[in-house]
Amino acid sequence: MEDRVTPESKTPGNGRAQWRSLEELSGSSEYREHAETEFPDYFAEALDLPPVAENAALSRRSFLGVMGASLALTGLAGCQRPLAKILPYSKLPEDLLPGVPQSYATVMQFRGMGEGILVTSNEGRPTKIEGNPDHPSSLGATHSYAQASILQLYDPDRSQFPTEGNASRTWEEWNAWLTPKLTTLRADGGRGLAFLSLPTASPTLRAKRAEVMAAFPNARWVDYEPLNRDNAIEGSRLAYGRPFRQQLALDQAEVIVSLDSDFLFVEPNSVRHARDYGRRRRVASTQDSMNRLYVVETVFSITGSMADHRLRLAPTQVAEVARALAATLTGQHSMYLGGETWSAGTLSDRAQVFVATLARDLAEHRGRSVVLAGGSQPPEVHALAMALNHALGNVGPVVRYTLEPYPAQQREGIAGLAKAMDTGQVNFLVVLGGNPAYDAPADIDFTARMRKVPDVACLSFYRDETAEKANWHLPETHFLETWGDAEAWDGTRSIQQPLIAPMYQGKSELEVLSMFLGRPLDSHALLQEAYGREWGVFSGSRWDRALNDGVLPGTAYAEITATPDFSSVTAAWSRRTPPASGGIEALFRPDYSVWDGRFANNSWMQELPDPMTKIVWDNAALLSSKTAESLGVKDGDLVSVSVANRDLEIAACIVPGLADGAVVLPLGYGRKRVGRVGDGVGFNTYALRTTTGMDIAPASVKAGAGHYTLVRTQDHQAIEGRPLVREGTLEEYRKDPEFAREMNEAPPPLTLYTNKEYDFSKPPQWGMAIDLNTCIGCNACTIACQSENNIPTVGKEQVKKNREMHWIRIDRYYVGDVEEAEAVHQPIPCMHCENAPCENVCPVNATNHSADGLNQMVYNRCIGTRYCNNNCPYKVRRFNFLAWRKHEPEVIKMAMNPDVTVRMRGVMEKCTYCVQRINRKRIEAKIAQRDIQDGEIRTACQQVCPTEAIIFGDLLDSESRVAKLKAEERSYTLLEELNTQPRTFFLARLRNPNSEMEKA
Amino acid sequence: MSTATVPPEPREMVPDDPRRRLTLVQGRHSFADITRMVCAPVEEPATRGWWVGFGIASMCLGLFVAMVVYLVLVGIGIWGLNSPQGWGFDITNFVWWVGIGHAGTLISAILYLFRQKWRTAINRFAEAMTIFAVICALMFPTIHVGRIWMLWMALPIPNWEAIWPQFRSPLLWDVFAVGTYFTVSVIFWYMGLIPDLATLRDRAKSKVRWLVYGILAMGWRGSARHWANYEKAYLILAGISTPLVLSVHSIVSFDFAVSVIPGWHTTIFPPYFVAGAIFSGFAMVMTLAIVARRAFRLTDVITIDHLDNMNKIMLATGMMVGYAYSMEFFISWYSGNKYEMFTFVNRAFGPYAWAYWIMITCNVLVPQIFWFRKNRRSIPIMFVASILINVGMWFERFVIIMSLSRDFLPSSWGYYKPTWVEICTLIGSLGLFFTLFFLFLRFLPMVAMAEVKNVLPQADPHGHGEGGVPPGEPA
Repeated sequence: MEDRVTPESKTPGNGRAQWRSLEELSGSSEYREHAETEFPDYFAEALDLPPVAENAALSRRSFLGVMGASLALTGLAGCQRPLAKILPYSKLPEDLLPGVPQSYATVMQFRGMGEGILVTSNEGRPTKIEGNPDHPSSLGATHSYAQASILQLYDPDRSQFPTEGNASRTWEEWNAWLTPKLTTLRADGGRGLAFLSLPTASPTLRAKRAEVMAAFPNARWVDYEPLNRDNAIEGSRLAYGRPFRQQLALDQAEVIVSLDSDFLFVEPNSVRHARDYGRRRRVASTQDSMNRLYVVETVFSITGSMADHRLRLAPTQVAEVARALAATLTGQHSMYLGGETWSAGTLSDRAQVFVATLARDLAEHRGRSVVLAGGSQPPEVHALAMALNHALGNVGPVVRYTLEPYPAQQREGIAGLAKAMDTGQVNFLVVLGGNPAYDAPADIDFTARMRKVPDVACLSFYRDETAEKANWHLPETHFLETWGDAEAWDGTRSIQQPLIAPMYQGKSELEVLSMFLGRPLDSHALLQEAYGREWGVFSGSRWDRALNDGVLPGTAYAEITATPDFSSVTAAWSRRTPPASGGIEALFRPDYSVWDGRFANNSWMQELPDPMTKIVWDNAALLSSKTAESLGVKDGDLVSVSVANRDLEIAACIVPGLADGAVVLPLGYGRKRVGRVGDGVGFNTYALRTTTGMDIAPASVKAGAGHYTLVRTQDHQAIEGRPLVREGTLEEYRKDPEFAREMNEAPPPLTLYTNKEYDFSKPPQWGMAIDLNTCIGCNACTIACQSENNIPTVGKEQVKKNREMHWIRIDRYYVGDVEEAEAVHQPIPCMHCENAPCENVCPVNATNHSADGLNQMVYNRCIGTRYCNNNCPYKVRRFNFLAWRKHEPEVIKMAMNPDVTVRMRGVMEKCTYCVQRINRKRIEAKIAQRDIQDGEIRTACQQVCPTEAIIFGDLLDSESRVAKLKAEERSYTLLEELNTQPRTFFLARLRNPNSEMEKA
Repeated sequence: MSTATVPPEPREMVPDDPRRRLTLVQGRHSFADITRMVCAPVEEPATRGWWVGFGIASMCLGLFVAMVVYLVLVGIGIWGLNSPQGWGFDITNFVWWVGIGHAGTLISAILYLFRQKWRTAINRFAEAMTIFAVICALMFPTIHVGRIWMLWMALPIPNWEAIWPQFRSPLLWDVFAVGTYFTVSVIFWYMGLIPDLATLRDRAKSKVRWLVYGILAMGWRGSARHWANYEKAYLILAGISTPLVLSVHSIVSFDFAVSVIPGWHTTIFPPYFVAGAIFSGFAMVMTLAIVARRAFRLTDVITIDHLDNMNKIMLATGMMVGYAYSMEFFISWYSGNKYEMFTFVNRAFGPYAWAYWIMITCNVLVPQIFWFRKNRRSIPIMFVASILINVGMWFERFVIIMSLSRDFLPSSWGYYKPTWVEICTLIGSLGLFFTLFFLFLRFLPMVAMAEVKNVLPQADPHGHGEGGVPPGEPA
């Protein structure tokens, strides 16, 4: 029995030593005794005891993760206020001050690309994810999925140990099982061995995969992800003969055309694109210009909500618009598309006007425009978009191409694999990271095929649908627990470094593959080996530099210049079957909350409202009001959707502005094996998705299956003519810059009270600007706030009762008529009113004001009369109606930010302008004896916003961004006639319509 | 044979011509009769009716206790409250109960100052009703807070950190106002009880009764000095209580009026609420009086004329309340404030329109029947009307609080539905009230004997009662 364990002795060449030394604490036997009862599993192995429960022992390195938790968790877990022992470091690591968080750079792989992030770590456990400002895909922001992934790390339903069938096993036992199998396979060159993995952006992993394929030449390797870029890659092959990847510089585009491309959220590299789009959207004075966005789409997406002109069409009709656009540009604007004639096809009048105006606009902005095709559009649309970009001269300034490193057609790949499994050609299937039993195309029936394979091993994060059918299930590490690397969209490489030792017995794909090669090493060794090979000689300083910066400079892909093959594009179009008229088309789409289903067990994501429908804890079949009416369907009715002879009963949701003749089916719900949060939530639309209709398919919808309660965070969708989101056109703004302020009558701000308590004339006085012109409504701020401020989730039933706890919410209002609706977004955090209505009415003074302008909430003093929220005209306060955290598993506590109090039942809470961050910077500045610089303090919502729509700072500092924004004519405060004098203000939204669109 | 002139018809309780004065107590009772009639329910064994009523009330009280325990253990979430609707049944019940209490003080104090002698038949149990109503009312702010165990922080208790409650908050004013109201009402009521407690003490047949009533009667001997002090104290307390009738509910109305919410933020609330309080209070007194007078055979003391007068007051206050409703509507339109206009249209035609129209029917239409003398003197009609009026007044506060559901930002609009816990809590509070009331009926004289005797014709030293006919002799 060892008294102390040190991984240094086990693994060579540690990286940073700081986060490993916490294990020293294990010395105290009293602590061990305590911790053992708390976490019998974690320590059993370390102390060489037999496993206490099914959850067998973990690797010794798990000490590290647990140490951080132990500070709060030792003691009596059941009581209201547990006795917590704080154990100091016996050997304090350099640069580490207990209580001061540290920040490490790593990279998150998502959607086949790496997104650089900085992770805040508190005493060795990561608690918050931010963007890495130096990373090209991020520039300091993240999307909501990155925020949510921190909770995945601490998911109590994570797979913790290997299993064979239903029995728990150890890695040694797996290796013992695998080794003889490998010997047999090696003899045959790997015949019968098949790998099914998620596509990866990690060059090291790709190299390792190649190594495995070299070792087993007769094996097959298939990449499959349900939401893939097959269409774009195939389109590129059509246009250029080679698979290209588009690199966009959207800030150089003045006209952006989106053909069903939700480039602000769903398409890859969306965070970067949103930032660039926002740059050209921002208007500081009447001299500035704005870009113009045309969107042709089926669903009402976030990108569609930002459109200056939007055309809603069924999915196949979108392709017809592309064709008509080509026809108009070649016909009337003498654009060269290979000299072929393009016919316009039949379009509605409105669409024709749209196309004509759009064509002219594009023609006038050659070299400063871009045509984007969405991932769900067929390859010919992508090819045509590429051709148009070339013809318009956009390639170079706005669009550049790099070679697509991962060009395999995934749909064909998995179909081929399924066939092989069927015909007995596969006798050992290794699933690495995917969940094909759930999300493979329904006509493949992967589950049935799996039964035909004698041995199936599944490496996955949860013991999911695929894992439970496999012989062997191996737990996968989270990206925050393991070493790796990833390439950004443009190829810039980052090294993925872990922030915590694997909490359970997980291993990464890299490590598992090394087992197949007979040299099982841990990911750290594998990475250093790989980079040693790449650099010739491993350089410690180069390695440290890469880890510190989060990016490896000069690793972006090389640009390629090429000319498209117009004839090939035309040929593809001529092969295209004309769309069936009438009937309904189904469009499969990722979900804004759970993506393809991987976040289904993430309560933050389940409770994060869909940005457009505001639905939580569910998905629904989206229909336009006209389609619904023709089918006799009302909002919330259960309908039966049929695609390719498969039926699904699903709730219907009526969305203003959705295209007629279409039903949109978000993917990722209806899971059966993911965990306590996600099981049975929503409807499994994968059941309707076949290989011939992965994105678009003909469908039929039948009403009359009953009713279902869809829960939304926002029950009222219309703005009722109230001047809350103030909009104008760019022309109106130029004519009258103060148009926003004139939209509301307000008396001069007088008050009976002379507020001698607070002298608001001394800096700093905090304020926040929210630019409605650039807010795309992506919800990243909402979930970042949840992560930073330990905001609980409440579940579907409680959200139905309007009790969701998000401190910042995004209100989405539909404007215009129901069919051709437009949408506006308005983030509402606490306004921090100087003359706060909430402060006046609290009987116990639990809410008061600070000298620097923050409306403060004192949780200890709050008795919970709720008058403050009643009196808040913005309704930004949240009450803990029940003990939301009562049944929360202990491990979730590790995800919490120790700088923010966790509120108990009966207490009111609200946005604090991230006062913990303000205080931290104030202390730092004071110690360093300097002033706080503008931009040093960034609230959580500000930091993650992809478009930088939220700016926080000192209003009295005339050089600060927020003060300059306050001085802009577009700025206004909400409900100013109530004389609340809010510190949070808005900048009016501008649309940039094409005046010719109205004329025609 | 009498030589006095027969006074002209008709006879009224409050006539201009004193010769037309109606006898306040019918049936030509003597002092002894009064004592016997009023003390009978206290001294004789409880009737079966009392046991049944007390039993049901106690069960409801038990329900209340159970609901409160459940609430404290689990949290406010077991109610239907949410954001935006932070208050619902809880504050509706609070304001409703406080409002009910006002009638008692008005009858006890204001009518005393106005020398309305007909008040003597009803003032005792009206005042008791006030106290019990205030007890029920105080239950609700206590239990509606998220952390009841921290409620002491709302009290101005001196402490080392010099942390005081926030004096600009209307909720804190409520603490002072309703607290004062309760204290003064209890003192007033108790002090008025002393001569009657002494009567009970003197008539006590058992040692226990004699001891208990004796202690409570504080040594009353009925001497002239005692009576002189009593009258002075009574007058002073009536003087203190009178402004409370107006101030307490005004302060309670500030809970709403001081906020910024459209539909709440209006200066009409203080007089509107006070009128409404008196309105609902009289309705409750009416309901109780009708039952009590029949059950305890006090129809000669609490006569039909008393009820007639109370109905007139209800009609008057009902008209005030109706006027206030229409004024609110007018001002919301006249203000031009779109949020105000929306709120009032929403009240009448939005999701809570059903509550609004119940309110209008019960508060504006129902009292109109009291224009007719026949209706004012019909027991079944006034019984039903009084209950409907109380229902209507409950809905009035409910409708006001439901203004929260649709305020400034449409994104935060939400619907509130009470849960079974809240409904049971309301029923339970009725249980609390009636338990206390039944106990009062059983152990304390429900009519102010001393004061009623004071208004008998034979009590008038100048012999002005009944045209000078001495009692016990034919007219």
